Amino acid sequence: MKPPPRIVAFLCEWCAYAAADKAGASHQAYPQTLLTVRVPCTGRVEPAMVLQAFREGADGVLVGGCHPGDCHHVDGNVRAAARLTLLSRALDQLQIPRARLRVEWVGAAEGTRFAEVATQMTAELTALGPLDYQRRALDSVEDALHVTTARLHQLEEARGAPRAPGKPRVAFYWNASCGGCEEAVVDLGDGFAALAAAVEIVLWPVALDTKKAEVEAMPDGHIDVAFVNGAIRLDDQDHWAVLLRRKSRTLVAFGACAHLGGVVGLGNLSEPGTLLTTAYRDQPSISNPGQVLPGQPVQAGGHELTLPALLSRALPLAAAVPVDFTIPGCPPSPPVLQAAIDLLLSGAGLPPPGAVLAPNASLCDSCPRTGSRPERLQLTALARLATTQPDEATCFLAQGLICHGPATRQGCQPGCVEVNMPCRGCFGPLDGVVDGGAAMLSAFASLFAGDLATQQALATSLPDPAGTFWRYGLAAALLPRRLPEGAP
Amino acid sequence: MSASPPPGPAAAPPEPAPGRTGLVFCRCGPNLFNLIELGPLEARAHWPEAAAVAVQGILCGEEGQAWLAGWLRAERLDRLVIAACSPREHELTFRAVMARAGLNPYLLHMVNLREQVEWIGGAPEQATARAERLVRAGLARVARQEARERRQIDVNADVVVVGGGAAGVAAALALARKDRKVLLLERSPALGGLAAQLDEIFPDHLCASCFMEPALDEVLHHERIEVLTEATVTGVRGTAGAFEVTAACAPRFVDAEKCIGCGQCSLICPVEVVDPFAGGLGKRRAIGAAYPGSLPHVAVLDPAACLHHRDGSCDSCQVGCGFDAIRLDAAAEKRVFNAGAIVVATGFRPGEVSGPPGTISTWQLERLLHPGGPTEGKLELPGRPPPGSVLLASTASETDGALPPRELLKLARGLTTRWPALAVTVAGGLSRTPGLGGEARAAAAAGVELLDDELLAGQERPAGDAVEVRLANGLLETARCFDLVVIHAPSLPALGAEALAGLLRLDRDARGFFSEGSANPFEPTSTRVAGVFVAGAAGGPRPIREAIRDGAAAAGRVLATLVPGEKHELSALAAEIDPVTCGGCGTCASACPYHAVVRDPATLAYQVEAATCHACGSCAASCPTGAAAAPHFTRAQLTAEISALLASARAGASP
Repeated sequence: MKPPPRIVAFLCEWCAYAAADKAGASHQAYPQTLLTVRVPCTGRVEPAMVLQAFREGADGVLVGGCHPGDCHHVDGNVRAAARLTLLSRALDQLQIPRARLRVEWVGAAEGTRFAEVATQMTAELTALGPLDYQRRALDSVEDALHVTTARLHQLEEARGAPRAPGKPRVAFYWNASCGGCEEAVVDLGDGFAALAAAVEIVLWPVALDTKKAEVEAMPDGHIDVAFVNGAIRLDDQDHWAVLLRRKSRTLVAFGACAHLGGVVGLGNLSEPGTLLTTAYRDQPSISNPGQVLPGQPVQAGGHELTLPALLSRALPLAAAVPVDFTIPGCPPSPPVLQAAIDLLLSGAGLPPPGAVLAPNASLCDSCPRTGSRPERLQLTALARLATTQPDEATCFLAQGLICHGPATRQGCQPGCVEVNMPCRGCFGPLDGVVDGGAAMLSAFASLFAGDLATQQALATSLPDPAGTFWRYGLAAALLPRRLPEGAP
Repeated sequence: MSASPPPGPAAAPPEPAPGRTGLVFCRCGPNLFNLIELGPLEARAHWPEAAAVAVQGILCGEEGQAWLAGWLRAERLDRLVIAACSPREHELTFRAVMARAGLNPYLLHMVNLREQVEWIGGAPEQATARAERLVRAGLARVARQEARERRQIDVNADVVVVGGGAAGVAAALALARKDRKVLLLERSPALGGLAAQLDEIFPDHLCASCFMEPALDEVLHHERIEVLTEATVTGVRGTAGAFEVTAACAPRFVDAEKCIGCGQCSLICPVEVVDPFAGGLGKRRAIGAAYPGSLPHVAVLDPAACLHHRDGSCDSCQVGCGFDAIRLDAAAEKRVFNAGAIVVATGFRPGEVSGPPGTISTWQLERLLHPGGPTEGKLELPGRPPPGSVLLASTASETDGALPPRELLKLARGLTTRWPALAVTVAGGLSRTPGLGGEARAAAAAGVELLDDELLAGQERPAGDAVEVRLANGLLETARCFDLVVIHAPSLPALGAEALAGLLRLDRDARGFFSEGSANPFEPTSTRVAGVFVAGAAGGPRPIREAIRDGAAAAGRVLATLVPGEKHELSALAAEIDPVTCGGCGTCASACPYHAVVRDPATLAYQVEAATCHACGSCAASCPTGAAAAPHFTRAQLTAEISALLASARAGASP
């Protein structure tokens, strides 16, 4: 007997909620599966709330509102349709079946129709089976990392150890990354020379030949500040994250990959097995007659060699170990990095643990192009960067180009905008925003103008919503990876 | 196996405010808890989130309400969850009980167990489990609800009327007669708009200036109406009851106190320019009356044509004026006014028509026929013989509705009355317009040829001294020749309408006219923006008497909603934007269906105009930083509700 699905139902109080009341008042029978959230308008429903519902156990989400043209709030339902159409295409990329997110227009008098919608959706989701996102997509890697409260507690204790005298001891380490964050340190220029003179760099694989055994031999808390960049993609990287956490008083997530998973996180749109077969077997330029995949043990020179194993998804650093501070950016800009290093080495006026060391304000807030945007932007057409020469002075959004400035923390200047490229969101969201990609998706869809068909067409015209809105933050998103293949 | 919280950037919603929450289950008489099993739910120990739990029989009745008030006080509760019927049924009832008990009415949440759980049937275990989850979610939500207060503002009962035509004048007079101060802003140098420039008014062929002048005189002399001509609105801030309107006033270059309208300056002025009031058919001097008989009776100078303003080479009029009324170096002024309401009565303007010589628009014919017009009322076009046959026609694409057939019939009668020998034909689809039967019969009796055909646009061709046109009646097309072809001028929005729409955040329709329509058809002339009204042809072309009715209706709306000494109550749930976290991206303004979010021109941060906000929450959903919040439906409240609805799912308990 299949369990009944759990459907979170966002119902607008003027139409859909009234229709549900009408269905009950006429004693229409329909399944007890809707977990209702009453909203003033479907325009209040945030994409992030839909994602939260899926993450926390919903098998389906229903958004019910007034018929287009009849919205009590003029066109709030069209706003909702634009946002949710764009979201549904991102959900496609996460391999979440379309049937799980349903947007229905039900008028206040349509009690029978409401009951039908609830019945149909319940039947469809019952046949589809539970979504069970937490268990299927997330738990396995957590089990593998043994990320339990016990582990977190142990690591806390290590930091209380007494400090040996000497210059501040600093470590730079890289997990799954491109090397750009190492360059960011060197890009400090004179600041780097000053840093090298002021501290003892005890670990920096790109520059020094420190062995793992030497790090393991350090007393706990020996390193004053460890800057760890890169996402956690391999089990070996998790091992190093735990090791450095134990050996460091302050652990800093350095750069977008450590902060949010970075571009590495986009690998979460594929199964790990697919990543390997695509790279090592399916490329036309690969010569791999033995169809070998990395990870299998190899005999060489009398030794058995193994490579680290791919985790089922890329993770931000904070998913594996407690992180004290974050320096955002891909890579962090010289001003942000210099300020963070100065702050951390001085030890004075530190913000509370967990803080991101960059201003808590959006890029729009300090963008020179802000004044060029009309008070109320209405987009009826979108432009693609590849086929547009952006105007140098006008707000990118006003030109129909996607710019993540509204949702992205500032600090990069001079950055992309200053070289006439729209912001791509690498500094991540502001404090308190749980899913920056969902926030930017909702904001961008809210700029669309026109009737329902026009706005849905605009939403449908974006070729890669997951890659666009979660370019740097997929691994840290509410739904951080695709639904795995295989039966639930 | 996994007992860990999900990793990732999960910032927990803010901690609930300290408070004692009461939970009441209402049996709703016999209606509830026949399917849902109350037994497991009513135990106090089942709800650690609640300070007190109770069950009642009929909570909404008099006894029930009295009990509730007492219980709230006895248990020292400050917030309440009622698990009963739909909030659409009794949320207001129980909010009132809370208010009477001295509690804030927004600290209530009703869980809908009756309409949405009990009455839809099913298995008792499922219904009960679902009821439990809904109540738990309600408790999580109410813990994060905030006390909200209704706010009041003092209102300013003065009114700004934009546009001095028939509708604007009607509104201004109705308001001033009821003791309101009115500021009337007119873009051109003359009051009366298009109506005052006509020769005759349909249908009774009244003299237009006789029709308009008494009202215009009263406006110009009324002690409570201030008239500014050559004035346009350049800025609007604030909200209904408290607008701040900025106007730019171009100079007339003539002192209105001194000028007596003798016209001497016109005779002296050496410059001739195309007369904007003659449909392009006549000339005027750079200074003089706007048109003969225009009010106010004060000359006006056109700086674009004036030699003094071009190169300082002439000051003949200033020297020659016997009353020292000319001020060649007058400057533009900026004026700022406070008002509680704005009436937009900017009217429409006739567009141009094109065609071979002998083709003019209905507006041009109006001016030709006017005794004060470019030909002093003679029917002649430069370089052409006097016409023996005239066609008055409109094209099929006209969407003006009431106006074209009235215009055509009026002009036809005007022509036949003056020149009975003239062959006049009207082709205007008259059969489509109801209510013109009598006028059409009178025209036919006077010898006017009435055709049901429409003019096929763009097919006029010269034919010797005449013009050949193609007329269509359904699929049947005929070619006809006329000496003079008069085509109905397309009705266009007034100059500056687009800019004004932007300043006032008004929508415009596909033609560019202001969209009327608040949600309530019993509030004519109201718009989506509180305190802003649209009267007359500004909302789409219409006859003069209708425009006057609109002006009076708008005045009525203002008098009813804006009472001196009263205070306006603003919604307790109007959205709010935190200026610190606001990055000025403006997404909220784009999302708002009511145009209630405005940008501060100095700081570029966005604010909500509470009087215009209808609390739909779209701004909060769009805001990428969390600065915009919808009170009573905040992110924290809704995410807590969602988590609690699904909590049992995560723990693995069924169902």
